[in-house]
Amino acid sequence: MSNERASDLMYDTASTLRLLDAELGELAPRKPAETTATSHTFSSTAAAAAAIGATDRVLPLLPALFVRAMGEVHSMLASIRTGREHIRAAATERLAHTNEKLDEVSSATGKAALDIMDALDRAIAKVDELETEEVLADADKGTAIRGDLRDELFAVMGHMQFQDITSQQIMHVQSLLGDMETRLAEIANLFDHQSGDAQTSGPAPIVATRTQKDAHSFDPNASLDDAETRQALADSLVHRGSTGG
Amino acid sequence: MKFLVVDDSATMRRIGVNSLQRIGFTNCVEAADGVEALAKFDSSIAFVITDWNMPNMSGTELVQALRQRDDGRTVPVLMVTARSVREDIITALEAGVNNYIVKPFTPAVLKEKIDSLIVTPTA
Repeated sequence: MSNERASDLMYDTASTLRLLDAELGELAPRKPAETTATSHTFSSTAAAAAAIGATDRVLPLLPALFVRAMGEVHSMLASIRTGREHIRAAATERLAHTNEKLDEVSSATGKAALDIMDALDRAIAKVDELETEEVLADADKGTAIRGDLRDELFAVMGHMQFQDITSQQIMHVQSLLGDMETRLAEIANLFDHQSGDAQTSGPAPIVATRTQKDAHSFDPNASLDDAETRQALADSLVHRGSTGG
Repeated sequence: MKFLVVDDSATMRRIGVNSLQRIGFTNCVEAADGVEALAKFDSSIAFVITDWNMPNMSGTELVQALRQRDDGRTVPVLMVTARSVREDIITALEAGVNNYIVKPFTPAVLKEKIDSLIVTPTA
């Protein structure tokens, strides 16, 4: 469900509530200060007759007003029911997507940790090899093994790229949560009787405010998977561009 | 040969600079976003390596700005980014990027792309 559709439904519900409130207000007994006649004039026959006449005009209208109020209430309930289902569906979908992204983060950090440990294992094996009598006696062999050791240690640094990828994945999750926070705030503000404007009442969203600042700092599709396949696509497009094909 | 390495991730800047040093390019300057990169860019920069998604100014915006400058019109620009969908790659190339590396990358790929953009003077 789009943000616009949800907002429209909530606006309609709020309008219905205000209309119902206005209609019910017409049925409430008038306070003495609101009457056009002052209290001492009720003692006069003319004022009493006027009051009775007004009541006579209103009483026959009551059944119709109640029927209309009931109709508005039913309509409002239907709108709330529809809105609730849409919101629940959207929230479920976003929560599932958020959960999926967090699984990716967990998976990426797990894979990176294993890759790093494998590289360190190989590096330790190279150090052990350097201490063997055979290598100590052969300078060339020692140089070659030290080169291999540097490569393995440098590979550890390369595996640290997972931090950048998972950082972007987490920022994407934060943006999803910020979006949900904004929607929930809009729903909560809609029922705030102190304000007639759902957009301005209530405290500022916390997550949404922060994630707006980071909105351009991440790729929602950032991934460690299939880097070679994705690089191959990039290479084909670069080649096509350079050859004009 | 002086390189400008642009990425909002300090980790990636470190990996980029170390990778360049590993393949023989030791003269590097760093920037954390496109705005800082534009401020640091001058005619002494011979090669730009930039990320895409950055605050304040993205990599594609940086490239477009560089191509508007006399001293940046022909500088080789290599984009290193997590973005890898077809439309994004095409957008980057149309913005003026010369070659494209998808994260995570290996030093071998970095060297291959740099070599493809460095014009070797003939004897």
